[in-house]
Amino acid sequence: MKQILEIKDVSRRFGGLQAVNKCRFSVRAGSITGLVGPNGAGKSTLFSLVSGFVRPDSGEVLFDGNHIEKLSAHEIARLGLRRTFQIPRELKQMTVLENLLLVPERQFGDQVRSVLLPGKRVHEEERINLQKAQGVLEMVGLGEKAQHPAALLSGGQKKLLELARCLMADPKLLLLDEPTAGVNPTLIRHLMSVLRRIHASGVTLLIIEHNMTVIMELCERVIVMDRGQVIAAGTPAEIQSNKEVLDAYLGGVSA
Amino acid sequence: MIDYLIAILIFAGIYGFVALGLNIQWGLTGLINLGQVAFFAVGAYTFALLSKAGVPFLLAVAVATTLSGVFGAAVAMFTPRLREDYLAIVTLGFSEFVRLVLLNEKWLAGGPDGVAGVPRPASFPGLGSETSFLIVTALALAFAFWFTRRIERYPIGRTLKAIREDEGVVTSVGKVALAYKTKAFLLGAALAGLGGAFFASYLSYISPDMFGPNVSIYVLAAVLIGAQGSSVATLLSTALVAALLEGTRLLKDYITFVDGVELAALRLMVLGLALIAIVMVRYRPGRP
Amino acid sequence: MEFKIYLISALVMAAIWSLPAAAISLIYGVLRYPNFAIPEFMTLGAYLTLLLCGFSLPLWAAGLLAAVVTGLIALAVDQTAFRFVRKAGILPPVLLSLGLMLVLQNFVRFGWGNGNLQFPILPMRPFIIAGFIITPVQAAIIGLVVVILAGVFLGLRYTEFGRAVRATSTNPELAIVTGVQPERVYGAVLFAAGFLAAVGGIVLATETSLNPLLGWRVLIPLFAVAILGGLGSVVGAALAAVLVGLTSEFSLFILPSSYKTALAFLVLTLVLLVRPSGLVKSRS
Repeated sequence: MKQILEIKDVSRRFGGLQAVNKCRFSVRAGSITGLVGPNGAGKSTLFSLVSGFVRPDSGEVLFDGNHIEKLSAHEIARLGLRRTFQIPRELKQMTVLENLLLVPERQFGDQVRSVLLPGKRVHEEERINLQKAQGVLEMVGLGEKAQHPAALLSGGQKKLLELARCLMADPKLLLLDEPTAGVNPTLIRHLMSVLRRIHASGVTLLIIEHNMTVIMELCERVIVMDRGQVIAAGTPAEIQSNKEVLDAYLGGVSA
Repeated sequence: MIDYLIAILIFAGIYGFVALGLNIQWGLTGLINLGQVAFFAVGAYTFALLSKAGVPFLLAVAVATTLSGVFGAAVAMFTPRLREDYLAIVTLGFSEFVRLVLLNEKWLAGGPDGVAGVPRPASFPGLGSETSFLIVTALALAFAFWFTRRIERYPIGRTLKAIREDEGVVTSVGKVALAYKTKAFLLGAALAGLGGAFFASYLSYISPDMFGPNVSIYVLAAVLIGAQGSSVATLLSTALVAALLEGTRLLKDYITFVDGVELAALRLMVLGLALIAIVMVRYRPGRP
Repeated sequence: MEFKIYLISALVMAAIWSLPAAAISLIYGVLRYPNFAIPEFMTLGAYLTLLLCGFSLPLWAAGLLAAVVTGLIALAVDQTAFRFVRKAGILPPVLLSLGLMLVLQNFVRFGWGNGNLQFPILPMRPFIIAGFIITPVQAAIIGLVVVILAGVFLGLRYTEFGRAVRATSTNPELAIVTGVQPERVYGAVLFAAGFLAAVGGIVLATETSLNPLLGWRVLIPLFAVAILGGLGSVVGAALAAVLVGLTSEFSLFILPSSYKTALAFLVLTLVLLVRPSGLVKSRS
């Protein structure tokens, strides 16, 4: 079984807080893997470390067999590893469509010289990107919102927009930070079906999630973190009956 | 009277370049620059020295524009992670630094005496020097306007706006935010330098005291009135500011109860008050 | 011998800079924006002193009165303009201070013209102590500044109101909960800043001369000092003033004097790039 992401003894300290401590696990290519743990367990920090927004103090991160722990965030993104943010960071003053059109790499129109040359090439490029963006928006169910300012979307729709922005880049691995937090139950059903569709199209998903129903239904494998370390890993059923996990969630009170 | 009108239009055009430049940096990309006059000065001096050395008009303008752009890129590259407030201090400080260098280095640019006898481009046949200069300025400004308008509407403008809103998002989609910020600063500074070249050519004499902070404030006010973002609004508001301030410059022929220094001081007080008023309207409580 | 002259000169420079730099620092610490009008309050304070001297007030009385008036003007401007953009982020007050800078500088130019003016004081014979040559005016400046700085420091540290100022600087929301009224703190800070800047301007004019660009010329050194001192710290500002004063005076061994300000700009940029929190860790 091929591992798309391997995290080997990664540590990161912030001042006096050891946020991530020799964390070690891997994610199988083509899987949906859940990452759970109590608040402050270091899950979001781990995402930042993997995606290059924060440098690890020590340890290795391999994506598709290549070391990425020393690359910067934009380089990692270009390799096909994309992340969403826990609190959606939509570009409020832009339309939903513009939020997606930002994404495609190596746009000719993104260079200064394109401005001085005849517009044909840029228009052609925009037409292709526009088609793709429309397709992605249809897929996540935001097709009708294309021309809306992103600021006017609901909380759940903003989560979908974050997803759509990642999909624009044809990622290999998506890190989703609490995709259903603050989303109403109806939209959660919709979000889950979108995630299944994304997975079916060949994208590996690593999901931080507190909603256990989502984890149970979606994930084939769950990794549990506490105090910066992996304390358990297994199928959802195994995790549910794991005593250490229960202790971690209940604040370490021993029975 | 028509001469006054032409003069006001030319000044409006010159400041138009500088304001369009600031609009790319601040309006579009969200990078505050309180020292736009530094690049204006680099352009003016480069043009003045080159064209006095016999370099043809267009070539001297091109070199002046490019060199200012290089200075802009350098400032952006040295300040990659500066917060808004620090960038404000550094850019304002940089502009005063440039002025001090011009003031002190006699060998370079004549020190406090400045540079005199800067030539204008040849006049069109049958037209006066002033009218010809207005036409040349208008043509160059039309080009600058076309350029900035395209920047706004092209994918590159979208990326710059995205940086203004949230730099982290731009990084997360795999783009190098610093590269775009540098480009924005380069382009904005280059446009200021272009304005500087026309300024030197029009006045035929430049000295360091013309490059004080009031020029930066001038264009800050114009870009603010234009609500930071649109080239059209920026140009219109620059024309408005120029009409008010350059227009009052001409009052000295009619007003006899204040002398030249007092009138100049009054005009700059009006500029300061105008900036205060604009900021208070633009950022009044309850406005998003 | 030369060394001793530079040392005195550096200390006098440091004394002059430390009050307006402390003003910038205070505003930065409490209201979180760089106020570019502080140097112009220096100019205004100096010219108001000159005006009052014209009514045959002694210099010390004219200076005190002018500093109080300048403080009140700073307070009034804050209440009529800056107050309304408090919640709008850093940029609006920065731009307002820029506009205010232009207004104040040109108000002075309008009223007194562009020329250099002098306070009506007679040159006095300098003291010579252990080979150090120091004029009575310089000695008075250093003494006055030390007293004022000590007063500000003690006031911030040991009075009830000083506690309110520090609390507002550290955490405004929490300060409100504990019963502090932020607007009163802001008002007091602005008055103090105007007062300190004016005193700085008056002593600078005493050492040099009055000119509409009096304050503007030290804008960069002041910000270098305030940033190096860790914005928000009065003690830091004073220490940084000594450091920048020494650096810029002793740079005269290798650089022409006109580059003092340019040097200060380099110091400022370096600090921002290398250690933006300043030498002394700011309370904020």
